[in-house]
Amino acid sequence: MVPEPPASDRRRDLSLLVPSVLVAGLRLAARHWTLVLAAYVASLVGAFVPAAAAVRALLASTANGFTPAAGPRGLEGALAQGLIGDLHFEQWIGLVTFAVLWIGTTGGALAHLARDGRRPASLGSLACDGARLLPPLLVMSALTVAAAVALGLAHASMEGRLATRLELWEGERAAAVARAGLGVAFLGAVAVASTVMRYARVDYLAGPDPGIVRGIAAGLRILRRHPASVLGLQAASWACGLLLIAAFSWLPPRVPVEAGLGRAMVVLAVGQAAAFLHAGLRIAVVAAELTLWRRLGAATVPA
Amino acid sequence: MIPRPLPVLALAALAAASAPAQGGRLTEPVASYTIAASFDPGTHTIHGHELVTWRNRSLAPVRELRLHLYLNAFRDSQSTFMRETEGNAETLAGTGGWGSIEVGSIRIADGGPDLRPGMRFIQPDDGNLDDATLAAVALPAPLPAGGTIRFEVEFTARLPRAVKRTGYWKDFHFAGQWFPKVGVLEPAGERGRVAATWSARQYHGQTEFYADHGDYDVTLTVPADLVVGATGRRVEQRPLGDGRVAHRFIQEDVHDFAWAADPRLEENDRVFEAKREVSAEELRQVADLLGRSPQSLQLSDVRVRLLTRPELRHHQERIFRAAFLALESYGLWYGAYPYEQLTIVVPPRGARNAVGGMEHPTLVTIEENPWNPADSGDPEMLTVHEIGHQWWYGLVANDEVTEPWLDEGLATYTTTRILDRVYGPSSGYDWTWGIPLPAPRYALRLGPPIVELLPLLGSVVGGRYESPRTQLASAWRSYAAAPRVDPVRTGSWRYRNRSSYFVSNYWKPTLVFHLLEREVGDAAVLRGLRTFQERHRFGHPTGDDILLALEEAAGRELRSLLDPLLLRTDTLDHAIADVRTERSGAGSFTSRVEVRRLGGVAAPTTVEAMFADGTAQSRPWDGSAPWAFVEFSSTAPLERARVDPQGAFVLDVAPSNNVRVASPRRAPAVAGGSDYLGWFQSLLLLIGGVI
Repeated sequence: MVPEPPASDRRRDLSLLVPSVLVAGLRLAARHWTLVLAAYVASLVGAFVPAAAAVRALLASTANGFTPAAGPRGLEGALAQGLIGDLHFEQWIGLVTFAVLWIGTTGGALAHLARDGRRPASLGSLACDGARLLPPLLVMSALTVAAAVALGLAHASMEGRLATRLELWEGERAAAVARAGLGVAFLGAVAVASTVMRYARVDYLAGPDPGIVRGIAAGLRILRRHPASVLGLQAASWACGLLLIAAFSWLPPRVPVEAGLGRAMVVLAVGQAAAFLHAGLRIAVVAAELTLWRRLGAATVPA
Repeated sequence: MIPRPLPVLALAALAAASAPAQGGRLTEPVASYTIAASFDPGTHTIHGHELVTWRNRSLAPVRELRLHLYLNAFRDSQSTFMRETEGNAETLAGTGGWGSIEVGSIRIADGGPDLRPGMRFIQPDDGNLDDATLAAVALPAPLPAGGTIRFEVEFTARLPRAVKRTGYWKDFHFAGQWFPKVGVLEPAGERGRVAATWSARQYHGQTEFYADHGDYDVTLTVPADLVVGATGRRVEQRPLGDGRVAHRFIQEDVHDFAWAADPRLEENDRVFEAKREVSAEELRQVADLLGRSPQSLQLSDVRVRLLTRPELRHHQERIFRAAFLALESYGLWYGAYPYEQLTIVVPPRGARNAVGGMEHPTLVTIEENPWNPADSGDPEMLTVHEIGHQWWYGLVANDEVTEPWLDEGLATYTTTRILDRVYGPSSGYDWTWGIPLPAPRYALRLGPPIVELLPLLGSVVGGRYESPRTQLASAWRSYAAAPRVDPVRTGSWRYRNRSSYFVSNYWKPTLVFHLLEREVGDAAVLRGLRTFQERHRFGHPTGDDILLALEEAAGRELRSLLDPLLLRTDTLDHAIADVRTERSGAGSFTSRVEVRRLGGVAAPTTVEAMFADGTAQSRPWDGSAPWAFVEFSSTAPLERARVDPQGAFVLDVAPSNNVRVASPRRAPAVAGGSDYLGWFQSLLLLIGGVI
């Protein structure tokens, strides 16, 4: 039986635990730049196939005087969108490639940090860890995806039923809020499922007795005992990611560089800097999850 | 309690009391209706009597009438409408919301025999014996050429749950095509008829309507708590003392009558004051364009009555502004709106898609969502478009069933002119969970959307939102996505699907009119359309009539250009296939441009060459051959060549191949690819936070 944590532990949910572990995670990520580099490379490799297809399409159109800012006759970029808007197959390849690389990379990073957080990881050891741990981690991630798909189907079904129920509602606002609320609840449910599986992974890699089922039980346990902390960290992770993306999206159009190679380099540099920082954030969150898991005493072996 | 209809004598008295329109009649009526109807919102039922006065316009005697009974499209799952649409039968079966119209009796006025026993349903379009939307009624004696018949019909109509253009949602009721209505008998010579022929069709999945003009005098008896909006002007609102009120509406020179009733509608009236809304400068500009005097273009005041639910109160200003703009622009270009009133009904959300966005004489419905962002272009686009139908469908009453492109194309074309001129480009939004999210430039579409999470991420990530788009660009994009499915001039029930119906009737004709603007000038196009409007006001023209008016205004033949675009699915696609430039001597260069016609439409155009020293040369190309070499001599090497440099061919399905450069620059492609790479990485890393 798992002992209930002392009352002081529960109170810590209301303290600055989330920011402090996030800061700790950021410090760890800054110290282990090879992990960040690996995560960044995973995103680069994942995006390679669809991006290459996009570049190929755009290059083919350069003979037609293509400019990304506007299509011929001011068709507001419709041409540009048409050129690279239909890369479904390539997007699938990119997503699957990234998923495999990412799961191995972040799993290897977590294993390294759990083993020895002070010594920098070599890319070789990270690759070995990633490859060694990939099968169970893939299973766990597949469970996350399956949970998200199941929740998606449940959401679609509930939305259909809600629509029928909404037939009886007069209020425009109430109906819109209900529909949006269901969507937000779906997002929240995905976040909960994801959180459980992420701590299951931590338990699997940093716990004394690796096991998928045991890890899931540990993930559920930490969520039940410290919901504010674990979900708060998850929310902070998403918020920081979106903030980063927003900041770097805002930048390129405002860079005072004329069209041409200079502008291309600016777009490339800004995009890749954003991706690198985002990859760093993701590694920091992985480290923060490990830190939180340890601080909350979840590593205690149940009696 | 089931309301009782007014007795026939009272009905006849009402007919006698009908007041003529302000300023007198505009056209000789063909089909006029005096209707007394009692409405029970609890059962969605209308009990009605109508006195129909119908004139035989043809030179031949008429032995039988055609009656539209379009509410029977909603009678069961076997009607032609239900067979041609998906999901409506299930909706009506699930809600018990079937609709219908039953004819109790048809009697020649002043004591004639009941013709109801001789009435039979006919199915000239598809032979579907289960369809009861069109009836033939044998007359006891032939009605001579030019003769008029008056007959009374007793009917009971039940409105369906709103799925298409008519019906109810909760307390909101919209009655369209709700009474027995005579079809159009086209005399010999009209619309290509060699003999008098009934042009009356069944109710199809996509078809709209066709009718003759006449006078309407309609008295609706409804519970006192209902707010009523209807075709025409209300001349009387009389409490009956039993909790009901009789609303009497009159309108001359229209070809249909529709009404809405709902206890929660709010009424807001404003007057379009022509003198205040139209400046002398605007009047002069349009007069110059049309080659007329400003005095001849004077507009009249119009009372605009807006009926909305309270939730949409904050959008009223936008709707009024768009409505005034439409009254001004259509009025100046095509002739003044001749009626005193225009009613705009905004259905509540449950009926929005079903009855919103529809034209009826002096009454339009629009769709509006209270969450529509200010820069979305809604409700302005629908308001301007539907009001435009007062000219194209209302005044010029083309057959919407067999030639829907005429009214939809002209209303959409004019809407693009007005909106792009006044409002500029509008932003696109993707609606996720009822929330409008700015449409992203790049889409993450991984097949059937199992969950909405990924499209949502695709919208959120990056904030690289699609740039605002003009109405013209939107039309082009919709057309270019599927340009070869159906010819424009196709009967509305013969299109492959709903998407093809929209491309062929809305987007492609719009682009055709814009193409004409660029070919012959916007003044010639407007003059042609004005002539078409004036020549066929209160008439039933065809596509040939509009082409004739446009050719007259342009002073040249246009058929060779337009027929492939309207009668066939030929596309317009000119391209520069290759450019070469060589030094031909000291300080002189010879350049050769290979131009190709990839589409079926042959149209003369210009090939323009731009040289490194900033000079440019143009050569005409007749566009008839599949390919041609065009040579240029210059003092500098060729930098780029362009076919159709003015962008006249707005229907060009592939404008990207109109330009060819001698030395391609890779940088824009690298920048575009880098942007896409960064976007996709952001998306992946966000997903990485979940798995």
